[in-house]
Amino acid sequence: MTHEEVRQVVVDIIADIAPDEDLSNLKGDLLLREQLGLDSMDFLDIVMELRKKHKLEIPPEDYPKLATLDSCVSYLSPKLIN
Amino acid sequence: MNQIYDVVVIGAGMSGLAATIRSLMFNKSVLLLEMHSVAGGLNSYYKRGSREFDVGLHALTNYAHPKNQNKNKNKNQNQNKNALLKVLRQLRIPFEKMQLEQQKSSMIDFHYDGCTLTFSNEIELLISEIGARFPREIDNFIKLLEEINSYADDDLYRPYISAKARVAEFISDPLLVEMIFTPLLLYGSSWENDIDYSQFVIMFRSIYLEGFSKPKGGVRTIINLLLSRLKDECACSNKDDKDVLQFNKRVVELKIDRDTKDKEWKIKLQSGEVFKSKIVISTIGYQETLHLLDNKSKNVVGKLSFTESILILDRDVNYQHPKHQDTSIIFYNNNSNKKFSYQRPTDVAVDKNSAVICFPNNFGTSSERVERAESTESMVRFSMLANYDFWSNYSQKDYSMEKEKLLEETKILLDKIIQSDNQDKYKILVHDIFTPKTIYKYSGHLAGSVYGAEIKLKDGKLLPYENLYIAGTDQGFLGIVGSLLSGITIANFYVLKEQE
Repeated sequence: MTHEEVRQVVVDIIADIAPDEDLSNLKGDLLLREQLGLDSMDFLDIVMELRKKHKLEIPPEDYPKLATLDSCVSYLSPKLIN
Repeated sequence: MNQIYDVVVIGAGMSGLAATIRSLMFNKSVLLLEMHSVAGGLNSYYKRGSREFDVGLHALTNYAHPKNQNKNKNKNQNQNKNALLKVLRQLRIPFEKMQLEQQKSSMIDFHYDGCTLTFSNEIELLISEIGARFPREIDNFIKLLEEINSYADDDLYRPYISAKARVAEFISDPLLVEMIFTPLLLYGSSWENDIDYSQFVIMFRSIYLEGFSKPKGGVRTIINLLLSRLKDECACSNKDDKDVLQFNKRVVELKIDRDTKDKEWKIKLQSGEVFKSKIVISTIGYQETLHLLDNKSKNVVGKLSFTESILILDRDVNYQHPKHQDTSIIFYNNNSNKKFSYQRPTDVAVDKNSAVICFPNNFGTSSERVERAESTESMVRFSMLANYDFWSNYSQKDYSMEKEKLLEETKILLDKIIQSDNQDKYKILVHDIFTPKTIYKYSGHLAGSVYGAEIKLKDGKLLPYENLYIAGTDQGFLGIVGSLLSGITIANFYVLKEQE
């Protein structure tokens, strides 16, 4: 997957979790938590969807790597090779 | 039947449905067992003739609109996210599908003291009411508001602090303290005459700062949305929802085989059927779960129960009423000495000195309410503190007689509030009355207890048992929003995280 595709994977999951949020102006370097008001329960859902849709297991110690859109892309890109 | 489920959930009330949906979302094998033939638990519904009745829910607390949620985001980073929106998001229920109608306003009516306070979903109204009635307390109330706004409610292990004692440090007029507490106690305290301070803060926010709303279709809207989400999740994983949610299945025993390595739970039904699971989430209550375990170490049966009287009137009594045109709920208190007595009545079956009076038709915008008023019929619901022992010990004859007496009392109270003249008086078309005995019969909650045990198991663990968790009322979150949040939280913590 290209970085752009990985980014889309994450945005699609967030759109699923937070249907009422406007995702068109998401900044890659800002905390998702603050831009969208996501809390730890929502991050759990991102982890859950990655597992369901992409068979990815994210260990709890790596959760901080999902903090921003950019960090998601750099963390997930090597894992989402296909 | 040798399948070992990942999770067995006991009770298809709000928390059980939520825990099941979340577990299904995690791709777990789940079985939800309900003793009754319908879902909902303490909040349910039924039909009589062409009329639909709700039981339990008067109103949802924690009102918020997703569009307004972001406005406050930058103002206060510490602000806790709204629980209702959090719950809907976690369960993937679109906000619009709830069809929520906001209250116009509600009233705390201390009849004996001749003092009322009106509040709405905008705190400014309550502030101005307190300013008008208690001018010397208004600065103190503002300080209390600031304290409540800055309170972090994420620490599960805080010791019990008396909320009345804490609030009295801010507000000196005992009448105002009692009035502020009345709706909060009636809508969710399992303690008599007080509440834990952290619980007080949660209740204060959910009622005074966020406020009341009601789905247009009542509680069945919520239950149907949950059932349809459960069905969707079953379909996603090729399960038949009839295998996942099973009705008329009463659990009579919970046992764990200590010899097997895997330590799975055996869940025995009244029919003799036995299911096995790795995790059990019980939503039936603390004491009720101890009974299934045959554990006699504690007695934590909750004390507080209510009667509920539902009247269908031939007209809308709020419509063009000088005082109650906009009233959705009245928290009525007629005790003397500036006191509201929130306790199980000791020498009478029902405490007639206080009541929650709900006008379910009087939610929504003015035009919606006018439209409904013109369709003539309306409903009034009365909840009054009641003593379970009285109601359960009555002979069948006395039981019906006492219900009739309660109906008469209810009518007197309605007349007092509506002050209708006899010239053109409303007629009661239909009525129905529930007692603590009814609550026990349909929900299984011992002593008809509505808010459960005084002791809450905030982390959901029922020690020393492993892989057995309590969700719902006795986990500590109350009301419909609280119960849903409880089911979600317990599933998130112990079902999703367990495998990691």
